[in-house]
Amino acid sequence: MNSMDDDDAEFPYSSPDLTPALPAPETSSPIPSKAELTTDDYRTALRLIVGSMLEGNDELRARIAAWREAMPGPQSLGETKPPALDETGGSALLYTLLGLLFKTPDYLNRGASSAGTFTSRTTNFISSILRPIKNSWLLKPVRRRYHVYVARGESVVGSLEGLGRSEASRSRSLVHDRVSDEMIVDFLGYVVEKAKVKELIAEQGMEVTGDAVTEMRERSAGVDSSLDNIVDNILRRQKSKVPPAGS
Amino acid sequence: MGATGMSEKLVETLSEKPAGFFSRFIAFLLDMFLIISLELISGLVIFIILRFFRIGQVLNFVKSLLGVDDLLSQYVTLISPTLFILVLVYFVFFWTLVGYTPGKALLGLRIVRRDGRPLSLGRSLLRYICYWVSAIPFFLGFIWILGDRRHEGWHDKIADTHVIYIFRKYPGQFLPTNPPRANTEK
Repeated sequence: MNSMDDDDAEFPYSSPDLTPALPAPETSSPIPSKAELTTDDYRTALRLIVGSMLEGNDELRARIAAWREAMPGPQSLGETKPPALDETGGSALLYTLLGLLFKTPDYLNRGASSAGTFTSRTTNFISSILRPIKNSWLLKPVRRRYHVYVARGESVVGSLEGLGRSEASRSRSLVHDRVSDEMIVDFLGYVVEKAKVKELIAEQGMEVTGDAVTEMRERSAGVDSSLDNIVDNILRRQKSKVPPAGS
Repeated sequence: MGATGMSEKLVETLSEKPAGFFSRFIAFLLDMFLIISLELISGLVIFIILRFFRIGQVLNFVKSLLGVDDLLSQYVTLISPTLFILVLVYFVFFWTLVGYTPGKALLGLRIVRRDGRPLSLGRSLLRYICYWVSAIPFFLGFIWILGDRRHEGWHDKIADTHVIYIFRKYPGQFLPTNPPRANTEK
């Protein structure tokens, strides 16, 4: 990475490790050294990921909605005559699979709805059976403790939900304000065009491949020599001193 | 295990020594895997093209030749002859051109003649034919490599060739280095 310092002026972001400049954490903690990751770093990275996912999801849904509106409606589809079906077995199978693909969401919806109804009915039934026991004076002390636990659990869930809502909005604003399309394009262009980055990637790739290959060769050569020893023992001959090839 | 340290030791002790049975066997398996993958893919492409253009005559010929009806049997029948040719071309091409197949290159092995010279086309062909000589009596010619002092199979002995270890001499290079050319002036 240090070898790229001479070209840093080309890149609009000043971070030496190629990450886009992000807003400083709100806490006024001292700047950590490069090696250690703090909780704030983790939170910022998490916000970046969460924000990208939420914004990406919104964008995808908006585009899908726009495409759906642009598509011809079922009435106009009905007017156009479907093309004549190919009579081969392969074509019939293809159309069946396509039909299944489009019908799957309906099947899933229907299945989920049936499962929900079944669960609700079962719960009601069991609850009606257990109601006399639940309301009896024997379970009064347990019932009080149970209500305390339920209230505590609800408050924990409520606070987590609140934190999630506030973090989601912060993550969205982080991605929205700081990560623009231009920035991503710039960053990718920088990585793609910069010869030293490419060299670095190629070098690392070669190094990893080379190490794996060396490891494999070492192991197979080790097995070779073990096999030689075993064969020498079986044949009751002196340990192999393999002459070099061509001698 | 430190790869670099160990590889230096290997380079010192094993370079240009005859390669053992296991390394050669693994190299052969890798080559076979590669050949069969290539054959399956190319065979599938040919088969799909034939089906797409409704070249029924070819498939009917295959059908009448061996009496096969289902698609899988037609496919297997179609690729079988090309597999034989592909194996021949694969081995002879690589042995003649660079002295190692991709599988052997991964294991750091190279085939040379006894005097260290690279293989000619004729010798490569002879070695390939001798593969069959080694294989037909229950692969005894290949198993011979285990017990032979010089780790030579029957095909090596007939074709006057050696398979030797040629490990990389410096980091970043993992293809076998050039064969020893000491006797090339003969």
